[in-house]
Amino acid sequence: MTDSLTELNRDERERRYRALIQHSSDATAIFTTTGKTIYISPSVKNVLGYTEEEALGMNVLDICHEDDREALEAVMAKVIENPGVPIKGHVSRIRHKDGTWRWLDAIVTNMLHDPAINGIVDNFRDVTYIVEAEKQLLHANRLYAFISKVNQAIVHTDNENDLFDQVCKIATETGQFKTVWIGLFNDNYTTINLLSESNILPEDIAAFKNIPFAPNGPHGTMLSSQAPYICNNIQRDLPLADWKSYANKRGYKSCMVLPLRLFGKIVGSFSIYSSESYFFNEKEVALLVAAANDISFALDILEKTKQKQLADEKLVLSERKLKEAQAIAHFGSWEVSLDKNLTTWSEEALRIYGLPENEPIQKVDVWLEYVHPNDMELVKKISAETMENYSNSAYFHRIIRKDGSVRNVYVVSKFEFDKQGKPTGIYGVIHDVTDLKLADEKLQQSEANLNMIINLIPQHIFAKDYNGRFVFANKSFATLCGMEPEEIVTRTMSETIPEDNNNDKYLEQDRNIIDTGVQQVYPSVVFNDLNGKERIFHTTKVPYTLPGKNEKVVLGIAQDITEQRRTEKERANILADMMQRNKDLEQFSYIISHNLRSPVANIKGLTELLNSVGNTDEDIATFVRELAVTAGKLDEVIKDLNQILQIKSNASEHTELVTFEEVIADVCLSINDQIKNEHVRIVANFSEAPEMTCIKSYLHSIFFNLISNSIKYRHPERTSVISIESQITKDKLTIVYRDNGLGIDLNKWGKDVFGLYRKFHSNADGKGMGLYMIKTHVETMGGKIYLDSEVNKGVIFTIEYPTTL
Amino acid sequence: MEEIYEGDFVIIDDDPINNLICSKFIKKVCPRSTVKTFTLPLDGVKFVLSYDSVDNIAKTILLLDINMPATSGWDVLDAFASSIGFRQQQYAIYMLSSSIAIEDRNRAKTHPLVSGFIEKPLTIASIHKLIAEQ
Repeated sequence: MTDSLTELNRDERERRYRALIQHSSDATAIFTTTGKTIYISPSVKNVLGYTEEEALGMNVLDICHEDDREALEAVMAKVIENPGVPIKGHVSRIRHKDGTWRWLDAIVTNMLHDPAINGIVDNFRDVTYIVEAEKQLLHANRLYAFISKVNQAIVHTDNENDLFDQVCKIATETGQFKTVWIGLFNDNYTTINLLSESNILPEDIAAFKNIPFAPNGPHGTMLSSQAPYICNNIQRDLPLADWKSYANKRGYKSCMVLPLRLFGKIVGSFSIYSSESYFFNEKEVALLVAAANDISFALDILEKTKQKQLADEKLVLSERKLKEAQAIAHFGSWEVSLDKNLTTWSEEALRIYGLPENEPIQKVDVWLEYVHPNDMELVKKISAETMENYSNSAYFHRIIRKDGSVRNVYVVSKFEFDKQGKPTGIYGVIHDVTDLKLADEKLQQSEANLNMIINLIPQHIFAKDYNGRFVFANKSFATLCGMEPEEIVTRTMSETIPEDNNNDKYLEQDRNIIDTGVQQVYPSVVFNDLNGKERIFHTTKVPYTLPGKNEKVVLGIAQDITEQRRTEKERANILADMMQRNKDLEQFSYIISHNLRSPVANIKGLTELLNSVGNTDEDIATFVRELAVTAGKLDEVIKDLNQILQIKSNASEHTELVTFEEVIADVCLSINDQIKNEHVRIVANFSEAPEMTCIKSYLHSIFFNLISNSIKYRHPERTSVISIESQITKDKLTIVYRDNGLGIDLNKWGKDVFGLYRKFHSNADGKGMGLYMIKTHVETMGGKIYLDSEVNKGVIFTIEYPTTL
Repeated sequence: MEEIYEGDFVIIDDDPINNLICSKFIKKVCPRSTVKTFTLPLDGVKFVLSYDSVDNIAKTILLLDINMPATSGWDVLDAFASSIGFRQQQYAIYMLSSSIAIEDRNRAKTHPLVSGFIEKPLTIASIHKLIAEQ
């Protein structure tokens, strides 16, 4: 029984075991050390689809996934080393008969030592569903962790660059993507530029900067579809050969490109590369889209914050600028709220009134307390009018600050109304014009000063336009024209001074100055004044642009130098005169010394002869006689000298009105014999100027010497004719004396003709005193004498006296 | 005893008394010399230009006054200089003047025709000096 029971039990157990083996999802195989199957349980069909017959002789290493082969070989080695010890095998992919991969778990025992078995026992089962479930769970956890971290990053970053960096980092670390990067499109959507990345090899980064993208590539497709782009098998599906080869090189099997939006518009991309094909399943895609949307949302928020910040900064800046502008311009502003009865003042308005800058709220009427008492009436009147009519106002008045300083202010006010037309407030500006007013007053004062100076100075100042019309004339210039300055303006030169003054020439000069812009100086402009009197001006003309008009005119300053020129000329004359007199004096002293020495030398010579031996009586008599003659000559020279010196010292002798007629008559009477003997004819005409005030004896001496000389040096071949006439002009009296005698060779004697002891004729007596005496007499009375002569024709003496004498 | 000068003398001066004094002194010192005097300068010029003393070994000494009416001593020199008939090597010209002006002396010193300046009156001593220079 026991046995049968045992037998039964054994059979039962055997049957059960077989059934178990046959139907079990577990299977058992026995391999050789090389992996060849020498036994396989029938349940292999349940696990891998092969029949026992098919499975026998198969090598496990032939049907395993190549990725798992190494691990399997390692397990095998370990098993061989440890006989009898069951060892947990590697969970590996083995190909099912239908071609799919099945995950198999195994317990492997080395039973080579057991002769009954003599192989490696591999007990294995299909764990595919467990591996897949684990995988999916892992996947889901990873995605949730990824999106949660992305959201944390969004909350904690305040700028997009940080956000992008963190998202990329999270994507590779938590999301376990192989490589991710974020780029922004350019404005034309022709290139994309890498901004943040994770796991791009450093040597590849440059290839992501500003890259153009193909329209049928990931980015182009994403843009044209406005939706995420997914490629789960790059090698098969990506149409871009170069990208394919790059992906292959870097081990990218699938990729996804998600749009990043700012205010709904695509601005960039979030690109994800995976090392696994078919990585982007439905769940994956949904979560990544959510993440990309979250990033886009964050971008919107960041942008809004940024814009608000900018607006805030702008507002602060413009408020500060307004304050500064008010302070610079001394422009304050204020607003009255009528219902609250309060005024809000700007800082500058407070400063203008001397109120504390930090008290902008003031009572409505406070400003009235500051109004200058003298302006109070006006201010109150205007104020009442505006309140009555709700009219706008603008007016000047003065205020007195608490410290006593007075400011000039200009106030403009306007009413504000509500929809019903009821006034709700008044606003306005207050301008502190004190400094402006002071500057204006100063300017006016300096203008007045300048005007006064311009009208006081003796220089003639004028300005003329391109057509020669006066645009300005000072008092001095106007007086020259006999007008008032304002009368001259708009007139031309000819309409101002009718005298002929080369007015056309001036117009030409002036236009030239305006055209060339070059100033001119005319050192000596001759100009006939109103009375026809000639005047000389030193004129400077400069081009000048009329202030505020941009009109080019010529500005002239003329100085009357008539008097200066006259005195200069006078001085030059005096100087020339003095030089001549000095020369005359030198000549005088030379001649005197010579003519005194000559007789002295003779006396010395004669006395020495007298003292010498061997003189005959006749010699001695001759020497003595000549001594007497010489002594007489010496006496004569001394007398001449005396006479000359007397003339010069008697310059202040009594003058009287002398008629020329009378003097000539006296002279003729004294040399009557000679005149008669030589048949000299004297023609006199004094009708124009019959008389002059002079020293009578001098005038007598002049005519005496002239007539004597004419007789002495008369021409031997003709009757001697002497003509004397007097003329008078504006400033001088002229006596012209002519004869028809021998004349004097002026080429030879010109400079010495009036010299003392000058004789020009060796054939007549005379000692060379006459002309010298004439000149001395003429000059002693303040006159001048000139000689014109031609040999054998006669002489013309011209004697001039200034009439002022 | 010095040698007696045998050259001739010509004197041009408008002052006859000076000419007398000069002639008398020259005769005392050089009794063999001929002395010609001219009060009219042009006559003197005419004489000098026509007078041929080529056979006389000694130079003719010409004493020329400066201050003369119509024609001065300088004019006379100009007349000589501009005349082809003037034989300069035969004459030793001295300006003889009572002028004490330095200009006259300087002009005499620098004039190419003039050998010297003698202050009037001519004396025996100045004649000796004159001869010694020949």
